[in-house]
Amino acid sequence: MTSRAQPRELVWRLVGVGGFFLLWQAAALATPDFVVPPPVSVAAEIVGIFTSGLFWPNFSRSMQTIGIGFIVAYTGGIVLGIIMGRSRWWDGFFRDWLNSTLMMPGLIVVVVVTMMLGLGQSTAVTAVVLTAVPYGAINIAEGVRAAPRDLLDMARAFRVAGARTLRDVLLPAMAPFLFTAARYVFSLCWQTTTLVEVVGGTRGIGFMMKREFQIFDMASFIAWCVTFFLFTIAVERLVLQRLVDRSLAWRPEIEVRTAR
Amino acid sequence: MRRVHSWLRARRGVARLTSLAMLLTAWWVVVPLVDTNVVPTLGEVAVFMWDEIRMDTLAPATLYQSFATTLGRLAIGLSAALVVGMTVGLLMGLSTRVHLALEHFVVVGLSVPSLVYALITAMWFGFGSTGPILTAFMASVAFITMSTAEGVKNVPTDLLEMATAFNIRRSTAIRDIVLPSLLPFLFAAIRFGVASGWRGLVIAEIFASASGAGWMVMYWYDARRVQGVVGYAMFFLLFALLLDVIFDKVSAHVFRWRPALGARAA
Repeated sequence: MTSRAQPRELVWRLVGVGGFFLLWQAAALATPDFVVPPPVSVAAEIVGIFTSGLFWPNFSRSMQTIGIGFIVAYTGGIVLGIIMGRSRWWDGFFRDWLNSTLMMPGLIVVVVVTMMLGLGQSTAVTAVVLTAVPYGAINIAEGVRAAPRDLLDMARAFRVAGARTLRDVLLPAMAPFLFTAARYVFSLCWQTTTLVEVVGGTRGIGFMMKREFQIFDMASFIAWCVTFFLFTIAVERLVLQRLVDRSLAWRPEIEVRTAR
Repeated sequence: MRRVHSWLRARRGVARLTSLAMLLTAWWVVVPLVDTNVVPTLGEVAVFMWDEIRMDTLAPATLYQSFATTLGRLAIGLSAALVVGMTVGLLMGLSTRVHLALEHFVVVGLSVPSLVYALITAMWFGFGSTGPILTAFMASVAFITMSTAEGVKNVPTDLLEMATAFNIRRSTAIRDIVLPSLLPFLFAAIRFGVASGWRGLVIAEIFASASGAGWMVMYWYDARRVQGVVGYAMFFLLFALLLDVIFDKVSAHVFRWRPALGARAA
């Protein structure tokens, strides 16, 4: 990361982004607007979403589901993960179910839960938790297993208090796994939330996406997607990734890897 | 040592069986007690699944036909994604410029849910096979690209330099150094590609198709037959477990030369 390398890096990044928009514009010119709308009309639609007052009620509904789902799923994932990481028996007990849920298309879970619980918000939260918990649990279980056995043994030999062992040995070793789990769980949460809203929502970003889909309004559909996904990507990359980097700054080997 | 190992494995097997048995019992006992018609009983689902297996079904396509349709689409979408993803990934791994230009798109591509692809392709191509195939392609291509690019960077440069120093032929170097270090990444790419391609495909079939395993779920959903939806979910589960077993076997075989991984897989 010398000062000379930076402008060139920017140039090539711009080449990528510019090329993408050129391709998009070209495709928009070659096809009717309802097939590929030009970037300009999508941008206009995005502005329209914010000025029409449709953004906040739908956005807040989705965020509520994501928030509740995340808290429940993350807590559940941590508890399950710790149990699984400590005991091979419980690992065997839960492993198949977690793996199956991982492989099970999220939409199937959504459809089944919707049929059983109806169209309310409890459906959304249940589906979100069901799909997100395995990602948390499996990552945390790996983290528990990655805890340095020798340091733990040493802490016990020197009679270090449990709370201090937790804070100084276990948590630092598990931190990367905790954060990875948080990122996975968050990403699953918002994806499932949109799925639920598309299948049987009455409000929310997914519901709006479905509405635009049904009236074949491509520009508006893309506008809703872009607005929401830019937001979620920002949360994932800027907030969660920043937290990861900061909490791992003391670890030399990881720092080298993120710098590359 | 070996004895302890097999004992632990047996105990794990017991744990797995216990959890399966407990779930089935809970389902068997609890559901008939709750007076509801939206949660199917174990019997209803079992009968449904058995009927489907015997090809005695009310639906327009049998279990085997719809899974064959879906698997065919997955095969086409995934092979295309492998070709494109590995090519782009190699370019990204070899050239910093390409990497800089495309990195953002891979990151965004990784996070865009398949639902978006499914709905857009449905608007473009209608309810045929093209939409689902494209969705499977889009759902897996970003991960394959990223994984390949990571793999190329992971090739041990010191070994390559040594190979040059000792005048080892290029083909030998590629076969013995580049490929073995790329292989785990490729394998992860294919495995994850199958999983996410499969998920995307099912989403596309549910929203934007009139055939395939995903569409069958929607068919039973529209028919308000819960046992159909749950039964098909079970078929998906069985299929997923089967895939997992196959991948584990292949992985254990391919990576048997790696002591660390081999020990973990066993």
